Amino acid sequence: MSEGSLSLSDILQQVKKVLGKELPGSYWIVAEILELHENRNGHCYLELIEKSPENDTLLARAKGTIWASRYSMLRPFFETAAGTKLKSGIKLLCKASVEFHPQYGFSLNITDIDPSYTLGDLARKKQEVIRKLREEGVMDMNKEIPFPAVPQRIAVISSDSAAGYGDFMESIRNNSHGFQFYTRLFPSVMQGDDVPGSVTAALDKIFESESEFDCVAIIRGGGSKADLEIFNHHDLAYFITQFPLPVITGIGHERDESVVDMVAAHSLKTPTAVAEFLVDQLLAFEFQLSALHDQLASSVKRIVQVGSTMLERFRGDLKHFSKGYTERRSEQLQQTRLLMERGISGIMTRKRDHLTLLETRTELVNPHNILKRGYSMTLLKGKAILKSEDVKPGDMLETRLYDGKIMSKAEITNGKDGKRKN
Amino acid sequence: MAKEKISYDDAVKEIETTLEKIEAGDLGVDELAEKVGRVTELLKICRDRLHKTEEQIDKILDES
Repeated sequence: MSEGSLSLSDILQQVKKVLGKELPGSYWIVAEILELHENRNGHCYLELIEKSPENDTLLARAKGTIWASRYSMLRPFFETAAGTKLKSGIKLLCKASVEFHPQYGFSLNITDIDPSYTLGDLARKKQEVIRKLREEGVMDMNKEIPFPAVPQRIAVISSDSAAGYGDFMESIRNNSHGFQFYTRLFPSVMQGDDVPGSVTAALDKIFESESEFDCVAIIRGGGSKADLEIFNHHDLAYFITQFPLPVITGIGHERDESVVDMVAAHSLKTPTAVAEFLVDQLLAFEFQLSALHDQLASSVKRIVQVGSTMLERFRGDLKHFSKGYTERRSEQLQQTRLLMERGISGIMTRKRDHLTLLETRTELVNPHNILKRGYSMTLLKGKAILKSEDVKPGDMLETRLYDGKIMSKAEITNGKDGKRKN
Repeated sequence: MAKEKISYDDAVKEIETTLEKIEAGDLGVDELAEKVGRVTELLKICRDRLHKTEEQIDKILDES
């Protein structure tokens, strides 16, 4: 060892001394987790970094430790409060003391974490993702796909071991309305950092037989709130916005809505709610059919009523018109009949008068009637005697009277002048 | 005398012709009596026919 030189341990002991003197106690430090692993004894070892907000270049890097006694308490507290696991990419506000060990070097001994900082950071990151999706103009694209009227063929993305998947299937199969659904499971990891890749792969598979499905249901249930953070992943959300089938999510949390929920066509709180939503869609369709049926029935009824009213009016009109017609015809007939009767009566009168005239004339020429009035007729040899000179004395004359005849003998005859001729 | 099947118009025509002959006065007494008898008979036929026709017409008009 040369004069004036120090051994490594000497100088590092010096560093440790200076650090202990210059940076005593604890400090609240902001840092991002680059790597994190727990060892078998329950200690947590971290790589902490700081990046430039402008260009992401590395500004600082240091080791950190959370001893098992603290870690066993801090980890659940943090995860519950921050809604995320302690993992790579998380930003922390932690209380740490500066430690330096000649053998192990520099490290920060973390004794406390303020989860509200991480919470704020994650919220900011989530807003960042949302802002980016909006800028890309894709935020509502999946919502804009017309939702099928009868969503009956469901592609389910879930983990077959997940409790939520069981709940979903149970509700779908035993829905109280007896609707039939066809479901096919496309298995995917539903928690941890592999979620985006795994869900995307499942969507890719569904896409291959897209025409066989009406919609996609992403189902997750029973996980902790900390598992939800991965569903704010930009690339996963983006992939869903570009998917040609409507996506329904049942991955949410009672209070929190992930970005995936926000871009999905429909987001429900639980897998059971997804099943109920689908059943409701079918029920609504059934109601719609029933309403259409009623509408049809009432339309038909109205048409029949209108037709019936029209027929009734026609019937009245017909009755009215035909009555008028028959009345007019009847009057005409009556008149014709009167004319005929008058004509007949005229003819009969004329005939009767004619006959009467003929009778009178007959009366006048009937010799019987002349005889009745006291005249008589004298015949000679059966012929009427018109001239006295035709009769000679001694001729037998026959005198015809009204009642009977007289036979006599002529003695004297007088001519027109009354002078005796014989 | 059995009723003749003579038409009304023919009967009237015969009556008129016969009357004209009688009225002209160139008929003998026996013929005259016979013709008057004939005319009287024809007149009766015509009267009956007219009466029956009237009854028939009345009946038909009453029925309608």
